[in-house]
Amino acid sequence: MDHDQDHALVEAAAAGDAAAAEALISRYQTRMFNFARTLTANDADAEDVAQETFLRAFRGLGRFRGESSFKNWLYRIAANVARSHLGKRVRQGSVWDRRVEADDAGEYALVDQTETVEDSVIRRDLLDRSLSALSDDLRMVLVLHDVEGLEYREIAAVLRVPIGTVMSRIFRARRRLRPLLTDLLRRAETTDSTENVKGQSAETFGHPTLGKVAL
Amino acid sequence: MNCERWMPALLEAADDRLDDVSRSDRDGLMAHLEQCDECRLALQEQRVVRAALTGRTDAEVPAGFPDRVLSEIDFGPSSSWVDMLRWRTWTYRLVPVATGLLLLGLVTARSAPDQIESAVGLSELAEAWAFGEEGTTRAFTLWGQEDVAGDLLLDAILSAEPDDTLSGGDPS
Repeated sequence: MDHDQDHALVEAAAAGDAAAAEALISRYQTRMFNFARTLTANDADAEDVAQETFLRAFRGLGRFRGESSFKNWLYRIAANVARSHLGKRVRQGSVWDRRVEADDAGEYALVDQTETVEDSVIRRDLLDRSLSALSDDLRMVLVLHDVEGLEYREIAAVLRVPIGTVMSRIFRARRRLRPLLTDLLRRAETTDSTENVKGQSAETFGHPTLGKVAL
Repeated sequence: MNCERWMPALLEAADDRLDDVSRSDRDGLMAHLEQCDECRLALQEQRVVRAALTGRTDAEVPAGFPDRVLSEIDFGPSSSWVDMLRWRTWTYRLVPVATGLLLLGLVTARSAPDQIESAVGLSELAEAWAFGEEGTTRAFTLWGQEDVAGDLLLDAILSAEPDDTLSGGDPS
């Protein structure tokens, strides 16, 4: 359904229909902005990347053949724009600073608060800063899978890499991210993982070993 | 132990999607986890990081974002902005045509030297008409003098007889 609606909007936008273009932006702006936010770890860069993504998409609508979904096509453009953007930042020497910040980011989670809007913002900031410590390749596959919810095959198409590479990168990315999220994950383990997963694991997997793993 | 062998199934387990794994791989993973502490720890690690990331709340898109994007796009009614932006495609497509025309011109020039000579002859005639056989006309000579009166110069221009010079200085 979404795919059909996107197709109609894309055709109308390609014919110069500004309302259709606006509808596409409204539909995907949150995804694109947040995807960019997890890759750049700050709002200003995320907005630049998201805006450039939409501009490139609309300028290239004539080349969109509909073989993939419009959503995944946008992700592909966003990944390319972000790579270029991050490359500039590396040349400007700002990545080192971000990595240092990521190492210290655990302090954000040490504040003992109830789950408020501010707390969720802090948690998101911690996550995004921690993600910035990963290489671009690892970060992109992990965000596309765990944050954006794309399947392995979709990520493979977006990034044009084999599915095996996608899975390997996700595995490695999670392993590298784990120590950076110590405090945040301590909470997750004592809430989500311990409470929810502990209760579900044996039923979900139907096996005592996997049930024990969740503990 | 061949832990890498079980990485794909372990990933599916971390995503709570073991149903997507074949029965043999699922049983194999379970048997492997029974005896591999490292993989059990890895599975826990994978699940916990995934839980943290899937729980990330979306950041709010800055106000006015769609308008800023749309303001960068020309939706003019006179021409499709998409077509206008395909100039690269058109440029690339015109390259063979331009190359073909250039080659055709070169082949023509090589195969018809007489026509080239006649073209040179025409330019010489035009020069002779303008400046005369010796490269000057009365009007041109007067034009180069500072103290010549305007009416005299005008008269020389109006009374010039280019046909005389075209005859190569031999009016007869």
